[in-house]
Amino acid sequence: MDVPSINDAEWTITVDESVPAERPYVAGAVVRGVDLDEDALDSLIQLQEKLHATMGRKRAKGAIGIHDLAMLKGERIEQREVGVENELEPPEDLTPVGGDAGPTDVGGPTITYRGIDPEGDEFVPLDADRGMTPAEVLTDHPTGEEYADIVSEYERYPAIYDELGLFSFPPVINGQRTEVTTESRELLVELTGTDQWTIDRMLAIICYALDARGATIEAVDVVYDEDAAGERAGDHLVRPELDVRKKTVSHEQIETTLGVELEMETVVDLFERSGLDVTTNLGERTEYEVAIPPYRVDVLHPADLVDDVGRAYGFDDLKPKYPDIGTIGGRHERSRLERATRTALVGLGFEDLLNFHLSSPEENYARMGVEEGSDHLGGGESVDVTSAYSEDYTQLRTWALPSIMHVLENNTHRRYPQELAEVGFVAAQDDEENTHVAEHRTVAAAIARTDATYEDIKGKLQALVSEFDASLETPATEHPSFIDGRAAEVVIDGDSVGVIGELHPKLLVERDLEVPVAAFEFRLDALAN
Amino acid sequence: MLRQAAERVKDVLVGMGFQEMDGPHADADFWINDALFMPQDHPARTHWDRFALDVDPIEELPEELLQAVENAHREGVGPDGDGYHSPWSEEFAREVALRGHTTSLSMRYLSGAAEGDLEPPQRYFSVEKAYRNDTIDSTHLLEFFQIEGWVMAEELSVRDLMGTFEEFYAQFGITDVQFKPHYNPYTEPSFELFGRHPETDELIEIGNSGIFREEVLSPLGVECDVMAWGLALERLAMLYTGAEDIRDLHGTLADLEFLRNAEVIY
Repeated sequence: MDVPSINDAEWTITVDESVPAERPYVAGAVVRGVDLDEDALDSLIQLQEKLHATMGRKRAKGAIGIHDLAMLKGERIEQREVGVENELEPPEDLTPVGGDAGPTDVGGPTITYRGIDPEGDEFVPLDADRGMTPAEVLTDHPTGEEYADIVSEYERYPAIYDELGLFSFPPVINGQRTEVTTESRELLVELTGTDQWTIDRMLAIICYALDARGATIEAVDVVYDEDAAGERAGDHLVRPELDVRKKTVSHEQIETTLGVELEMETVVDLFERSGLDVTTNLGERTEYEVAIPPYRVDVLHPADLVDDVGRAYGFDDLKPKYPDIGTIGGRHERSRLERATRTALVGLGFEDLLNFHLSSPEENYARMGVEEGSDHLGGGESVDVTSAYSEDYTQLRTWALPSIMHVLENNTHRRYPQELAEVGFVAAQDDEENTHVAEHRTVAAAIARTDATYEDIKGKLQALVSEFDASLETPATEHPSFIDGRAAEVVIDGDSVGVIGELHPKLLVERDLEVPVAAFEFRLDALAN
Repeated sequence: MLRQAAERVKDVLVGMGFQEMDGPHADADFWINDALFMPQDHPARTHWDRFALDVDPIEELPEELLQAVENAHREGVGPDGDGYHSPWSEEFAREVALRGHTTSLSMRYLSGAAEGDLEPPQRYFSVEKAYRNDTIDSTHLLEFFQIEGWVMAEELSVRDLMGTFEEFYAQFGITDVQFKPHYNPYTEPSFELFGRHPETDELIEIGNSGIFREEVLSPLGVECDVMAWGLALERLAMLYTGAEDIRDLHGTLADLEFLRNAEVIY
C-alpha cells in the first residue's frame, strides 16, 4: 500500500477567534487534476455521506465540504516578501488574520473559518434559488431543517469565507457558488468538527480515495488564532496527514486467538492479503510490526489486526472444539424460587402469564382506582421513561394485578373459568436504592368465573403458602381496587406483604367483565425462608 | 410458553456448567455501555434509542473502575492502544436507564462488583429481559429476553467459541450453526450466528458473539480471556412454536386461546 505523496501548501485556512466554541476544529486539503464523470462524482458523494453517517456521527462530530477550487477566491493578503513564495513559514512568524490586523505574510490564498451571527450574512445554498441567512437555512431549507439540531443552540454559527464572502455553512450546507460538478478539475476539501483527530482521519480517507483516482493531493496550512476556542489555539498545522501508524502484534497472540499453529511466512502472507505491510521482528518472541493506513480507523488495538489475519485465513476453516475446562453449573437462588412458585401456581390450576414490565399511569393506577404515592399495594411512585414512543408504555409497572386485569379484559370472548397468575418484575422509585429504583419480584393471581369468591382465592393462597412451609394470616383491610369487607392483608410469617380480595365491580364494568374476579398479590421474597 | 423456552435454555446451560447471574433492570449507563467500551457518542446511545429513566443518577460506582474505563475510552489500553477521541462524561455514565442488553450483568460479575473477584475458569449465563425504546410490531417488542453467556479461561480461541455454540444449539436440534465475521465495539473477533432450522431449512440470525476486547477486560481487572455472546430467546421460541406474531408469545396482549393450545416445550 503506497502512501500518496503530498505537494506543498499554497492555500491557508485560518481559524478566526470568533470560531464557535462548540465546533472549533478544521482541516482541509486541495486536490488537483480531478477527472469526475457522473459515476465518479456519485461515488465521491456516497463516500462523503458514509463518513458523515459513521465517523462524523451524522455530521455532529465531523462534517465534510467539497468545493470547486476554481470558484473560490482566496484573500491574498499583500506584501508577500519576495522569494518566500509558497514556502512554509515557521509558526512563530505567522501573524493571525482577523480584525484589522493588517497585512500578513502567510503567502498564498486564504479562506477563513469563523463564527457569525445567525442572521449576520447571506449566501445562496445548494438547492435554493435565493440568498438566505444561516438562520433562514435552518427553518426554510430541507437540508437545514435536517441538521438544525446540531447548531441551533450555538451562539455564533459556523461559517467559511473567501474573498468574495460566505461560501459554506458547515455542517449544514455548502453554497451554490462552489458546487462541484463533472466540470470541476480542482477541489478544496474542508472539514469542521468537535475533534481534530476525527476530522483528520475523515480527511485522510477522502484523500486516499481521490489519490486512487489519479488526482494530486496538495497540503493546506491550517492556522489557529491565538484566541480561538479549543485545544488548538495558536497552532499551525499542515494537513492532510496521510502517514501510516504502526502497531505490534505477537505471533503467539495470533495463534492463541485463532486456536491454530501457523508458520511465520503464512502470517506475513495473510497480513499482505489484508492489505497491510508488515515487518517481522525475531526477538525473544516473534512479533509483527504492522503499518496501518489512516483510513483503517477501526484499528484501535493489536487485537484488531488478529481479526484481519483471521478473516484472511478464513474463520470458516477453523474447526470448532469444546473448551477443555471444568466448571459447575447452577441457578441463582431467586431464579429457583421463581420457578418453584410458578410450578406451584400451575399445580393449583393457574395459567402462567408473562406480561410486559412497561405500563402506563392509566393502566397501573387510574383504572385500578389506586392513587400514585398512596400506601396501598401498587401505590408506589412510578419510574418513568424519559422519552417514550408510545403512551401505553411510559413507566415500569409498580404491581402486576393491572397486567392480569388487562389480559382478562382482552379475553372476554374466551372460555371461562380463567385462572391466571404471574410471577414477575415490578419497580418503584426509592431514594434508598443506589439506582433510585427499587426492583422486586411479585406473585399475582386472579380467578375469573361465575362463582369466584374471596374464599376461593384464599384457598389457593393458603395452599401456595403452605407448600413453602410458611404461615398465612389475612386480617381485614381496605384497598381501593377491592370491595370493602371482601379484602384482606396478606401476612406471611408475620410480615405484611400484599393484598387479597374480590375486585371492585367498577373495575369489572370498566373492562366489560361479566364474571366476578377474586385475586391476590404479594412479594415473592416472602416465600423465601 | 416463552417462559417454558427460557426454562429449557436455563436447564441446558446449567447442564453445560454455567452459573446463573442476577442483577438490576434499571442500571447506570456505566454498566450498560461504558464498561463495554461503547463510545458515548455511539449512535445506539443517542437520546431516542436509550431507554432513559426519569430518576436521579446512580449514587455509587466503583471509583477505580470508573477511572480505568474513562482512560480506556480516551487513551485505549496497552502500549499500542488508541482511544475513541470521543467526549466522555462521568455524568452520562451515571445516568440510569433500562438495560438495552443483559451484558450489564456480565460487566458487574466480571468486575467483581457482583460476587467478588473471579478466578478462571468460569462459566456464567442469564436468560433475562432487556429493553429497546422503539415501536411495537409483529416481530419487535419493547421487551425481549436475551440469553447472555460468557466463559473465562486462561486462553480461549475462536474455535472454543464455535464449539460452545455447536454444543448449545445441538440441544435444540439446530446442527448447522454458521459464523459470519462481524463488528462490535466490545469484542474482537466478533461473529454473528446463523442457524438452519431442521424443519423450515431457513437460515436465520440467532445471535451475536465474540472475544471481549482488552479495552473491556483490562479496566475490569480481568487478565485472562473471556468469550461472550448474546442470543435472542424469542427467535428460538418462534422456531419452536411456529408463532408468526411475537405478541402472541409475550405480554399483556396475549391471546389466551393461543397459550392454551400451545404445545409443551421440553
